[in-house]
Amino acid sequence: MSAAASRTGTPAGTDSRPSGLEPMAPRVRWQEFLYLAIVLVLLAMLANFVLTNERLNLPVFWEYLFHPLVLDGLRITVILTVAGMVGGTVLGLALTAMRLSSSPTLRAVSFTAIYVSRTIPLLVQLLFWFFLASVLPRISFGIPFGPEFVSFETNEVINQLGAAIIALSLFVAGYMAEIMRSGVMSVDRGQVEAATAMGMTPLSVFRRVVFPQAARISIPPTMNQVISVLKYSSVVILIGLADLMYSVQAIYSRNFQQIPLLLVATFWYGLVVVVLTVVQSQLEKRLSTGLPKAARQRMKELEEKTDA
Amino acid sequence: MPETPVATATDQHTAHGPDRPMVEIAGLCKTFGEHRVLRGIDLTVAPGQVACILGPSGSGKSTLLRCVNQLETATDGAIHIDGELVGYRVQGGRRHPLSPRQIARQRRSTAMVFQRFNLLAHQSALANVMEAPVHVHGVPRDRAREEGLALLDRVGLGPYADHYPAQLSGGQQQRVAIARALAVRPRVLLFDEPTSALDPELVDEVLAVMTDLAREGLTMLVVTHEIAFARDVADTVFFMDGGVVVESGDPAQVLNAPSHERTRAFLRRVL
Ligand SMILES: Nc1ncnc2c1ncn2[C@@H]1O[C@H](COP(=O)(O)OP(=O)(O)OP(=O)(O)O)[C@@H](O)[C@H]1O
Ligand SMILES: [Mg+2]
Repeated sequence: MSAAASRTGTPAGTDSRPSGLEPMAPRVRWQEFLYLAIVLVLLAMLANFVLTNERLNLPVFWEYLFHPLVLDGLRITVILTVAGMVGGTVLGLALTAMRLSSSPTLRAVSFTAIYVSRTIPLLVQLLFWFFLASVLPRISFGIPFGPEFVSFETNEVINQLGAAIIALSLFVAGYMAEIMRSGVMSVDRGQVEAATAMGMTPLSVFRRVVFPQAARISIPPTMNQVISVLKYSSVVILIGLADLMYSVQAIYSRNFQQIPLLLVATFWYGLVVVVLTVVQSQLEKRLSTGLPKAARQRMKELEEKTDA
Repeated sequence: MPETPVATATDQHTAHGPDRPMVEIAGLCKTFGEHRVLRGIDLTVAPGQVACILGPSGSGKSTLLRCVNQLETATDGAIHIDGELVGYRVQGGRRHPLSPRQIARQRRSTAMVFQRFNLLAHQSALANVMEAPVHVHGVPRDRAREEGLALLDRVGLGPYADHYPAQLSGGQQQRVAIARALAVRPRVLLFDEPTSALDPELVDEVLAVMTDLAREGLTMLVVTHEIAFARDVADTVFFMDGGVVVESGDPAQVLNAPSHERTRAFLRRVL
């Protein structure tokens, strides 16, 4: 508080410099103008290429940007991303809990599952689930090696969308498990012990101390994962599921306007990523209480309040 | 000052009445793999008394405290807190380990102050103090807040209730940690070198708070290297080396006229 007072005690602009040294000359960075000039020229060239190129056919871009086929495809892409992330996170959480448990059996199961999930290429997983019916025509639930209660035609349960969601979830699960494990491990052991010593049950320690801090650490890698899934989901084109990429391709295979339509897809992928980035920074802000950076910010606010 | 009673490791613990010790440790052993860290510790603290544990690094002082609040599980021996056997339920002449839930419940009779403070980084000073009352003991928020503010006042940190640990000096953090320990009204307060991570000029503010608590009659088990604190405040001093209590008794006697060479050697080094 005294520091704040002494700082406001010497308003800028007066020449009561306690050091008695000459004032600083303003610093001019001439290179900055050069960099800026180069960037502007490149941008002008790009604009010239886009605006004057008859073959680029920009009107096609506008014509298809909000085309129902494209929007339907975008809907499927978003559904795949959300479902894949939710499924993968739930599975990943289970794998993390098993990996950090004290049971050697559960740890081994988790280790193997994470290995499998991260090893099999997404494309292979997708085709595997899509063609599952060829080796397992019926799926049934019941007592193992005993009576069945219900059974389904495999093809009825796992259609294109089902196969894609299962494949994406399993693909994401291994990565999410590792993201969450590193988040949990980054939490200070001392705080866990302090909470334990208070008489908290292990579940409360997780809920009140580990989770809030691990979640904050896990946000940036989780967002990376969401963006990866958004883009990787375009492999469903191979099982004929009409996502954003599929729709765009279907259109340009008829009108041969590949580049304008790829720009349409790029626009929508880009927009989703922008939205995700905003969500991420909001989440980080909200969960950063007590971290050194947020702490400094809050300190500044307190000082400003006492100054006023 | 009564003679330190030599307790026997016994399951049918019968000490009752006003003379019952608050903490009674008998024959306590702890091994980590091959390493025998505690080799039969006997130690008693009467209600309202302050016991200081001194000893060289690695002698097992932290391990002893951590056994008392079950952050470690002792390999052998028995700990009773206020007459209650720690960590086990005796049935049919055998000891059965308590479940994690029951252990958590038992830990509520003690509170610990750590060398590195260990405040919850994502919570303000006040929230740290309110955490155990609200989320372990089910105290209503309003009351916990009132009591938390009073406790922060008592350790001289009333104006810092809204600060996060990262905004506090080491000495302030440790005083918040002490307020947090007091908030659950523990029967025994455990301190593990509460001033060793502090700059010299911050040590006194923490020791002053601890001295106040001792005057008010809290039962305290304090691991420390502050010889002056032990001399002025402790009712009993225990000197540990190599996993055993080498010497114990009145601070004046142990610190001024130690009867063991190992105690003398240690005191020569730290004084
Ligand atoms: N979790 C553990 N696993 C293995 N060995 C351990 C563990 N905790 C402590 N030890 C060992 O037990 C011995 C006693 O440790 P402890 O921390 O109790 O000593 P201390 O008397 O508190 O020392 P200091 O004054 O340095 O804090 C040390 O040799 C240490 O290496
Ligand atoms: Mg120690």
